[in-house]
Amino acid sequence: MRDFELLVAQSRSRLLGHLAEHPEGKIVAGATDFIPLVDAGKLRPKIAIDISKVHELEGIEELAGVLRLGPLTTHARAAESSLVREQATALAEASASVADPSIRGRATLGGNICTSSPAGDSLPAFLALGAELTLASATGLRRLPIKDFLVGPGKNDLRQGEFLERIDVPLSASAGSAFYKLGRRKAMAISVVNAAAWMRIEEGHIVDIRIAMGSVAPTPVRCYRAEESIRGATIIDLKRKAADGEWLSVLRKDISPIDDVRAGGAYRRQVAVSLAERAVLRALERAEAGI
Amino acid sequence: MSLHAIKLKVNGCPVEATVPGSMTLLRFLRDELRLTGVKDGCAEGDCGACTVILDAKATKSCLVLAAQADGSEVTTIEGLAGESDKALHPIQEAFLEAGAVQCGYCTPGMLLTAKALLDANPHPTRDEAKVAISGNLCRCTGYAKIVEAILLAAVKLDSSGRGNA
Repeated sequence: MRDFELLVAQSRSRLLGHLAEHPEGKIVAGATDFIPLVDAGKLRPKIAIDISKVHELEGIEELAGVLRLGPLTTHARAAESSLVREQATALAEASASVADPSIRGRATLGGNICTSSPAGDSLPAFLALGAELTLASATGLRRLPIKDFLVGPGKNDLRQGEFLERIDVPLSASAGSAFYKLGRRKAMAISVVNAAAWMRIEEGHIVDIRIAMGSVAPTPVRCYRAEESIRGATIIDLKRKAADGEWLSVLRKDISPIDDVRAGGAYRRQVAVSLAERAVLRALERAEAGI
Repeated sequence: MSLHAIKLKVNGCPVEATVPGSMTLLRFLRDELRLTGVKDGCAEGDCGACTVILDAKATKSCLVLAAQADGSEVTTIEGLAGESDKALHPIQEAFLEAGAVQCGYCTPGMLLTAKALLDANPHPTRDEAKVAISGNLCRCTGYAKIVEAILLAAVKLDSSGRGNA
């Protein structure tokens, strides 16, 4: 039953005012998750605060070494942005795979992060890209890596009175990233498994790598063991290991998929490995091509 | 329950109303404005039957709060053909000619999704048309003819010179 009270914030300062008065207020942006979750009884807010017209929280800009994204940026905008496509390719690919064109036109990056679904498509991309969140409240700003923000299925570290102010993606040269999703169909599908990879190469070596997967654990997860087995390897070695399936067994230990309505755990485990491998090899290709 | 005074344009007409904060745009259009061409399908964003054009974008009206549409322009199927009561919009003609209407329940959403697509991209490829309607379900499964109709509509709009009408 939808019987919440709605407060409409027209600006960032009004948003802070509403949150000061109602710290428990549930923030609503695109509402594309919010309305179905309320109707299903999974969210029971007494107060909802609409931020869809707080335009200060929208936008994509490149600063020194950082791609700064406003949380109100829609998936459609992220997917179309040449900055995101070139500098944070995994995110552009993840945003392009969310729901369908009409929902991508309303659903926001901040909404995807704060809904914190284990299957949220942008989340592995943000994890692989090493995104850092800035949370704002009346008392100031707090920064933390997205991996520390996601704490459980639908649960995160957003505190009462706080809102997501911005998302920063660190940029570096000779890096590349990629995202893959497997759903039951191409549109309107919650991911059975999704995977993203980012890596930086120097003089023929993988000097840094991040792999993240969704729908394989209670939260989207970093695959630390798989990363460790690749970090420092030569490009030739990585390609050989991928061909031999050597590090795939390592990756299996990073994930703990379950059976649910969308797929069985055993199937998930199998396709997760393939998806992660594709993401890693595609990210490598892009890092090598210098994009 | 909070009440919100909203002003918007629906099918070209200014509308002022007071709505509960929790009311969706779908319920507002159907129950308050009696625009029942906006179809109530799944009401959770999966089917696309309730699609309207909100500020030039095809939008599932069940996923928007009416209060969020304050200051917006909305086009429903009732407004697609414009002011003349009898004439059909070229996209509607194309759907009829291509046999793209079976039970008709998905049709308003399909037509408005097609309109928003063709306004933004007057010459879509077959794949672009398929992607555009990827969130609109037709359970008569007449997708092939719907895609044909959208491509035919592009040709019709070209020759009628009302690409953005």
